[in-house]
Amino acid sequence: MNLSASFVWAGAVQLFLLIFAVYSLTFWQISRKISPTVIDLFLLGVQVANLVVLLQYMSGTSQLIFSRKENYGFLLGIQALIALLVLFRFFFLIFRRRTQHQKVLSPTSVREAIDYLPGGICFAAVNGRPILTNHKMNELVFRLTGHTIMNAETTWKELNILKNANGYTKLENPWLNQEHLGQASDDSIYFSHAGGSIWRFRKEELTEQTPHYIQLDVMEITELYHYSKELYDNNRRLAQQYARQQNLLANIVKINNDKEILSMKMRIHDDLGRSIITTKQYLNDQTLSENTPYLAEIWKHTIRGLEDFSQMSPQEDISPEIELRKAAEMIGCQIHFAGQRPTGRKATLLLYATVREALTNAVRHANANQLYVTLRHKNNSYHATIKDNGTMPVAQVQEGNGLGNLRRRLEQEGATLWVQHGQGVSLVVELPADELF
Amino acid sequence: MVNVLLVEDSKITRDMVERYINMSQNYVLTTTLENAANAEIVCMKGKIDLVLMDVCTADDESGLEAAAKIKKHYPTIKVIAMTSMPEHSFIQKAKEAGCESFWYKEYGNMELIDVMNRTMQGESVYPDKTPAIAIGNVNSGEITEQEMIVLRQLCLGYKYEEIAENLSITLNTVKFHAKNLLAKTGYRSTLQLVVDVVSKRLVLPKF
Repeated sequence: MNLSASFVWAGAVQLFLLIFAVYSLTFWQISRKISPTVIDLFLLGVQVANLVVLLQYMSGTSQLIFSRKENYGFLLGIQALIALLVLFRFFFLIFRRRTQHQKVLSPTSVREAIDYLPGGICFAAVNGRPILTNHKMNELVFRLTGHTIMNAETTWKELNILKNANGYTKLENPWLNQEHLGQASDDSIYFSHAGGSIWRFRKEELTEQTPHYIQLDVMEITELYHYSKELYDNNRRLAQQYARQQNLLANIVKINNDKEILSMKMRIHDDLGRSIITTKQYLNDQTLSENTPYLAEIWKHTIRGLEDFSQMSPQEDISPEIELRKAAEMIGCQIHFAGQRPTGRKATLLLYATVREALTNAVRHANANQLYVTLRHKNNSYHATIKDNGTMPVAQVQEGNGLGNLRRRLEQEGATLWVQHGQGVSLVVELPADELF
Repeated sequence: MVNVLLVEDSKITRDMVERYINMSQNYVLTTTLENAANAEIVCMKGKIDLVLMDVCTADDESGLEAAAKIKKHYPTIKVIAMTSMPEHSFIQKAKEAGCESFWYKEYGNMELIDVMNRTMQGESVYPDKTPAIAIGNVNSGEITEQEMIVLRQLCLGYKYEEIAENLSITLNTVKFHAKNLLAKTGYRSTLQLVVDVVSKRLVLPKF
């Protein structure tokens, strides 16, 4: 083969390679969105320059040093090198494309992936038009409604109305939509299958991006359901126990008093029984006269118990007001109440606590001997003004421990206390009526 | 003569104490109250020398709080705290309130009149310890101080998480103590334990 023929061949190969390179780069850019890099552009440039040189040489117009005859070998070497580089680059990109291909998801692969999901899922446009629905979802919806999803919104409405179909029964337990089953959601529908499995349908609007989508999903939650049921039952039992415990704690002192009275009653019952049996025994044995002193003793004891007991039971409830007045009178101060007293226990206790504080302050600091409590009832609250006839005009009272403690206690219960200075000091308190406590 | 103020809301105990005092030569019962909050008022005019103060009185007023107030304003008045409740914190609280003496109505072998006499002679009479109460399989004395604190919180109706927060300890510590309490006493649930402890009055949540 002569030299010019080899150059024609070389030119043809280079031309082919150039077309091939341009084609592959363009194709990849379109189909795979892979942009040509600097290396690719450089290689293209080299190829074009090389072709120009070859053409120049063949037309005999080349001025370049290696286009002289003695440098032909060198020129052919360059042709081989460029061809090698282009091919190497090509295979390198092919290899990279393969590895990248595994990372890029095609619509088919998404579809395939969601069909593999254990649960069902359906994405739809806001108007309900399904965009992507997997097999499981279609299968379940088909079994329930008799058709696959034509419109997500319509299907959701159908599921809401549906009671049972094809072995599936809707679960209506009120606790199902509470927080026990993962996220609390009103948009959940539960079906139990005759086979024992439990399925949850959920509807959710995906609003993080525009356009918005509707997502329906369905999952088997049999295990979760049973655990949640257990948890729910336990919680309910716990709440009941808690309520019982609170009740017990609230009434413990009273229960104990009742117990004390009961044990007293039982003792008297026993005493009486024993006395009767003993007496009967002596009567039977005809030894009554010898044992008279002893019998008299035990009967006296029993009767004393009965006398005590008649005074003791039932325990009378002294009203807090009576005792407070009694205590006040013992220190020479009279309390005058005017107006309607609170009816609830809490308001009553708070009122007397306030009166007590006013009383001690009036007697201790102002030497008072009369205390006036005026009560008004208006709109769910009681308004009490407590004044004394103290002789000491107090310009400014220091709120000490007593008043401070009282204020804290009142405020905890939602009541308000004002201390007014004028002719002496008066306390004004606003107590919520009990239904508000 | 020693003027006595009796604060006691249980009629049985009131009658008993009244009888004691009427029988004795040295004491005069000035008056009887059911509500401890009124005791301070009666003490104001200096007519009282000795207060017999029940711990749990009418309307849930604490006798120990009332005692503290009385001792603060009228330190010369002597106070004997008395209770039928074996609640383990009462003795300590009575000491803090400044009560001279402490008397268990139902436990121990001390007569009230002895305690009164010794107190008036300037002595301070306290029981050595809280009466031992059987809680499940153990004696209340075998419950440690830490466990008692947790138990008290349980009796107040708090949940484990709340107890941890109240006591500034970790949830696991609370669970650890609760577990030990159950293991010791042999109860299956804390509710059973609390019911037993409260009904035996080892812990009285309100006082």
